[in-house]
Amino acid sequence: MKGDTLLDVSDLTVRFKTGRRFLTAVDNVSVDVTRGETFGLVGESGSGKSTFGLTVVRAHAPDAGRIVFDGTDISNLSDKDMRPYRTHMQMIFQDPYASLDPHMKVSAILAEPLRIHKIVPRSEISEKVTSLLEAVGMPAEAADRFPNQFSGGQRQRISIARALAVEPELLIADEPVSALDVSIQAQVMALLNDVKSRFGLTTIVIAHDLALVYQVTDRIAVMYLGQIVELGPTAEVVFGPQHPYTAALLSATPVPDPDVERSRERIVLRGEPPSALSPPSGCRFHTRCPIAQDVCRDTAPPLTEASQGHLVACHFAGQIGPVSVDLPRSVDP
Amino acid sequence: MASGTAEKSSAETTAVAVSIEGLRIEFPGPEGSWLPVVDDISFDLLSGETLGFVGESGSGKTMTALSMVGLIPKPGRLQHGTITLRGRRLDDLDDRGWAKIRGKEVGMVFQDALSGLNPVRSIGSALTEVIRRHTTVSRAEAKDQAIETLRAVGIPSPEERVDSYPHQLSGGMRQRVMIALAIVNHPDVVIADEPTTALDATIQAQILDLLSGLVGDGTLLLITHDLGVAAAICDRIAVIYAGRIVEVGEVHAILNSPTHPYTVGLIEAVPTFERDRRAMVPIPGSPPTPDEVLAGCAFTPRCSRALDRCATDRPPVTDLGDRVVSCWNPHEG
Repeated sequence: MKGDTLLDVSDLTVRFKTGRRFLTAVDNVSVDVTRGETFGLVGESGSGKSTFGLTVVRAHAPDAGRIVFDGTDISNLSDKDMRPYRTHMQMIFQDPYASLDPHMKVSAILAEPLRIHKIVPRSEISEKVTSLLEAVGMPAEAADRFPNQFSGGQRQRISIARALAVEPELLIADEPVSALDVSIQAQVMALLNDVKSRFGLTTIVIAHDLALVYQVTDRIAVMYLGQIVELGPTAEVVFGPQHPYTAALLSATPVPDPDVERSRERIVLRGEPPSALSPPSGCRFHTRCPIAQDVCRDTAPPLTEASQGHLVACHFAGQIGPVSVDLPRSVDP
Repeated sequence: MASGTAEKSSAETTAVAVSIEGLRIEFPGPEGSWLPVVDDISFDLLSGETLGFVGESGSGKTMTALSMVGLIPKPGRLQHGTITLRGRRLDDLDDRGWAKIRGKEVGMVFQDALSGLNPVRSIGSALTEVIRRHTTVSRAEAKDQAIETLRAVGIPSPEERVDSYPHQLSGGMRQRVMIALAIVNHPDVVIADEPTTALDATIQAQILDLLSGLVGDGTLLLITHDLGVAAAICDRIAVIYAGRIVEVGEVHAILNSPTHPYTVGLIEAVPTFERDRRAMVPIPGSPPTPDEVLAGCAFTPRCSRALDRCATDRPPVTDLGDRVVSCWNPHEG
């Protein structure tokens, strides 16, 4: 996993104006993603994980902090200056029904980025469309059809083909399978994994499903109310969570094994996530945390290294105790 | 009130809360044809059990549940089959007959609490209406009952919340209100259709806790696409594919030693926390639409164990003791 850094995000803050107030969707987030890595961003709704992704591809402008892509600071580039970088990073979204223009044939959907970014000469566009469809496991005849003639899984394949059209280096997948049925989810995740290695991509997978992110990533960052609470190598975070929120999220993710589900002690959090409009003082998680003390109400814990490459923002890191997520049939390494 | 199935012994009728026999639900297809979305489904919902209905979108699980409360949407029709609640035939009821059953003998919880609640009505008014529709209590008594039910489902300060409107509540709180509406008249049977699907993981854990606590000795039909949720709270599981039950039995049998190739495929497709990250094996292809369903087993085109006869001959129904499976070539249990 060692290698050079493709994406270096430091102290990123994104605010939205809602009425007279500001909502801080992403608050001082720092992440670096290594070339070739699959990085996972996990959190519940309102955690800021999607805003993070959209800001990295500069669909939003950051309010503070830096986004350095392949050595260039792109945080404040104008739309025009940003344009060449758009081919380097692509994003796919949860809802392939909404993200494909229903009035365009698949051939036109895939040809558009090829033409705009002059990826191939005009004469080679239709050939390239066919090869893109093939890369995502779709027949060439799909080019002549409209998005509504495909199932959700097939539409997500088309979205992936469109993202691949500009030959990106970084692919950000925001809840790529959460709208799909289980048997199709696995197909699309297998496809993402396949195109990642075939095209030498670096990927960021954003999802609420910790088990899904566990399956496909090298490192995981867990977000809560706009901030990263834990970041580290995937297996370390999943099998040795240091932050009580990570532990709660793990224990709240049901697994299809009745013995595990009935024997494990679930950490059921009190209440619901507070509004990002008025986040709690101190540690933002303290209102729901099972091990919070007075200090947590007053002082925000900094993100500090618990072990090499494993960062935790908690005054009592590791004190929630190990949370078993193992299935009985799994084998310890 | 009509009473069918007199041949059932009294021992059986006390144990069976709802009995479904040969259910076939159809929707209009092209050229005056009718296509089945539920095709010959039979099962018993036993008193005091939680039965999980597991399947992908379009499998017919929701339609089966809707038929049990007389809510098959038009232009769909119950073409064949009987629905018996504690020895009483329901399938031949008219709208007025069903209105006496819904919310009184059978309670329902749907996925999307926001669209299930009337936005211009306080939650107290919704609850008292359901109470007074089925019992002769005064407004004041009904309101007291409403407050007590809100307390039972974990709504904080129910005396104040009773006057809130749905939009003033979070998603988790709205789902608690939906559950309150379902149980307020102490029904015999509760049907919950994807009750936690729209919720975040930590809130889902709370609602599952609530549901399994409330139905301690009640009878619950839980419809879910999530095998983990089924593993957590179901006693038995019925796996549905293309309008038919392919395997039904005790929860450990179904999830720990599945025999139907579709059940096996579904379990292997689910992301889990296994150390070796072998899970998420996709099932090839996609589920058939109602006009594509084969004469034999509908899973044949996606099945790695398919034999020649699978496409043409309806598979035999085999009782293996801990489960019943419908397959020509099942795995060893």
